[in-house]
Amino acid sequence: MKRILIFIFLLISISITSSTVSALQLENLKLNGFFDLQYQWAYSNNSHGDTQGSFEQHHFNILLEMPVNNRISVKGHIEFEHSPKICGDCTPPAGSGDVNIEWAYFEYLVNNNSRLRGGAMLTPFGLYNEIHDATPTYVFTRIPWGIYRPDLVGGTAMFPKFSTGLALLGEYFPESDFDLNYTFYIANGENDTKNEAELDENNNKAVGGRIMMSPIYGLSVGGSFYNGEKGVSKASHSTWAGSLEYLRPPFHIQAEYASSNLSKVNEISWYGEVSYLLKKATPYIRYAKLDPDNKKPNDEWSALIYGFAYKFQPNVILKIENRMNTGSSNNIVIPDNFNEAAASIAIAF
Amino acid sequence: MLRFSVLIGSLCFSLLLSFNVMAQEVIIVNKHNPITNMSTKELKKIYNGNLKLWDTGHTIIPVTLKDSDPGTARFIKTFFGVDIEVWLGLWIQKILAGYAAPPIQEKDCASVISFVSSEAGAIGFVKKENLTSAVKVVTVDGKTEF
Repeated sequence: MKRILIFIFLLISISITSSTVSALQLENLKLNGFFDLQYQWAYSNNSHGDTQGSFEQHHFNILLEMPVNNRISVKGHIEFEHSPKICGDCTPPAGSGDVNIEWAYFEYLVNNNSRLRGGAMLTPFGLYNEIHDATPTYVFTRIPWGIYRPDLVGGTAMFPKFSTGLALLGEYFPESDFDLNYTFYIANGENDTKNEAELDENNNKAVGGRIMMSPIYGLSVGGSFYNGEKGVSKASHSTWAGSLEYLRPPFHIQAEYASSNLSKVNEISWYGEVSYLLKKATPYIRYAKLDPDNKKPNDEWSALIYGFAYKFQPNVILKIENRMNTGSSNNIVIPDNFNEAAASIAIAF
Repeated sequence: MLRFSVLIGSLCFSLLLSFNVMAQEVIIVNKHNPITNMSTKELKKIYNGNLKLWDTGHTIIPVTLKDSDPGTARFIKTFFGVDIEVWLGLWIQKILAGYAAPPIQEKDCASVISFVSSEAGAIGFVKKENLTSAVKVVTVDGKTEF
């Protein structure tokens, strides 16, 4: 395996150095980003959620892309989550926000059907992980937590949010209506404590991928998989998901089912969501469910979320929603029911 | 009978007029680009950011007029079958997922022609009346105008 990886690196190096290298010009730098402000209030009569009601400056993210030549580009994404406070001569408040490199990688354009990506990336899994924090790209205030953040609703992560390694990705599009896009990757995988972008805690390399097919215009179906060993204990972790998206205005329908097996504990989650795209306003509804351990009774979480998004322009969205969470007595995070109201403004630039 | 003929005549004239109003943009590329015709699907893939290289090896650089220009809205509706707001929403998703950079925008047809004539891999669309010999027209599924 190590010899194969070294060989791949050698191939990449030869490919890069044999391309025409021109001087970098700042005018070629592409700069984008997004921002959001949320307000959340848990209004039911128990202690779950934010019962005080709080403004939350959630994301301020900067995306950069610098073409190095006509085949190679370097891309970066820096996230400032919850307006982090980094003090020189003071003690920052507890839980004082995060600064994350969401991705930092190079891409080599092999041909119109394939690209090679190397570096730290958001794991290509399902419909949402690569837009995990990019709230202006969806009408809901949150992504489906059952699959993408099960740790917040009583489960364990089904796959790592981030992966560091190499990926081959691309599209295949013959003249018919059929389209296919794919990503396959090899990465360090999940660690227990250390930053996986620096060091792999075991000698196993995680592998994964996603294939999405569009047999007719507007419909995409496909699947994702992840397989690796986690941390020093080398706990076996294997996850797969099936995804469906139908986007034919005014309808936008998405549904996913995911099953994860970590150290022989089987976790299952699914959701279905529908939004109706009007010119500016979009009502939406989602039902999501998580079973953290399918052998353990009364540990499920589910949520019915419905709301309304208003696009002042395509990159400026106001969202207002209600979340009805249903907990279970054996769920370690949400043992009973509670409701939340949320509003947010999300802006892409 | 005369009134009926006048009515039919007016209807035909209106249809002709509306056809001329609709069919007024052309797709242009750099003069040195050997391509003469492309399919609608290829054009869509270019403006979706999926098709990135010409057969010559040059990087494809799609150019549009500003989002607010009626020509851009008509181009999107004609080839993508959606309103421009939907198309822009899909682009925001692609950009924020790190998958592609959006088409370059130019303020008017003269700027599009200037850009396309100076960039070997550029492709754009302009009103037919603004066309100059600095660029080359390509047909889409054999059609010159849309």
